[in-house]
Amino acid sequence: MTVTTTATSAPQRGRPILGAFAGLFLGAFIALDLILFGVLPLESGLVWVIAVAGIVLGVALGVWAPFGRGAKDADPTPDVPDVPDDYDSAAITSDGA
Amino acid sequence: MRRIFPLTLTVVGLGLLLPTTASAQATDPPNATGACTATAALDNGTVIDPYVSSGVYEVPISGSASYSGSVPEVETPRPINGKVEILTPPGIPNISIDDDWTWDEPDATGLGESGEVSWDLPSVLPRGVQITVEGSHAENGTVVCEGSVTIEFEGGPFDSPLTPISLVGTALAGAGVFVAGLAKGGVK
Repeated sequence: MTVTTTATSAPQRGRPILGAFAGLFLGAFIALDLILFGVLPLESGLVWVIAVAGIVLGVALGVWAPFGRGAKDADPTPDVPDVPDDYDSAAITSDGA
Repeated sequence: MRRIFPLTLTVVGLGLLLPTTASAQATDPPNATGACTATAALDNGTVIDPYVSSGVYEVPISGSASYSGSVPEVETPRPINGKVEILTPPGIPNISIDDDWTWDEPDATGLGESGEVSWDLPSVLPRGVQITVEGSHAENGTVVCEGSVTIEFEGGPFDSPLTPISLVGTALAGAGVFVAGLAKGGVK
């Protein structure tokens, strides 16, 4: 009997829902930073634009998932246990003794 | 070398965020209509007058001021109303600090008011942030005077605890976005 092992590549996805919430907070905090550092006036409507941009960025990164791919893609072969230096295949007999 | 470029960008970006030194004298052109008067002389030497300049006026977080205002009307009983508000981003209601910031009298007789006022505002308020204060006054249901000035509280961004809190929040939210962008699953 021949057993064939094939490596299947599943689509890599991040976490778009988390990205939406984190992006919303990121945009809101960046807008707040810009106000607190005097870059934007308090009544600026740009705060909404920045908050929405944060949501879009978070969802986009969550769908695209560009981080953490490198390590997995660089070595797609399955891990093989190291062979001890003193391994002697001839020492194994047919009855396992 | 590859790490130097993003670092340079970050430093330049932070430099752009640093607040510019506010001018000692408000020089923006006035933004007020009508023949009213409205002035406030602050104890730090600043004189706020929307008919002279719309700002930017530096206001201490605690202090006092003598103020005066008048309207160009005949001194007879009449309905008046008005308000002073801090403008906020669109979609968020403007802020009136207390009842003194709005008035509505059915039989007012006076033509002006003056006095002294003092304040000691919470230290959490942001410093160096441009805040637009808008006011209007109506006689017999018709707005006769309106205008706005821009103020900012004396001090720098880090005089308020809001700034470090906001920066930490930005970092945490950024970490959240990074985690959202981490690939899960992958090669099986």
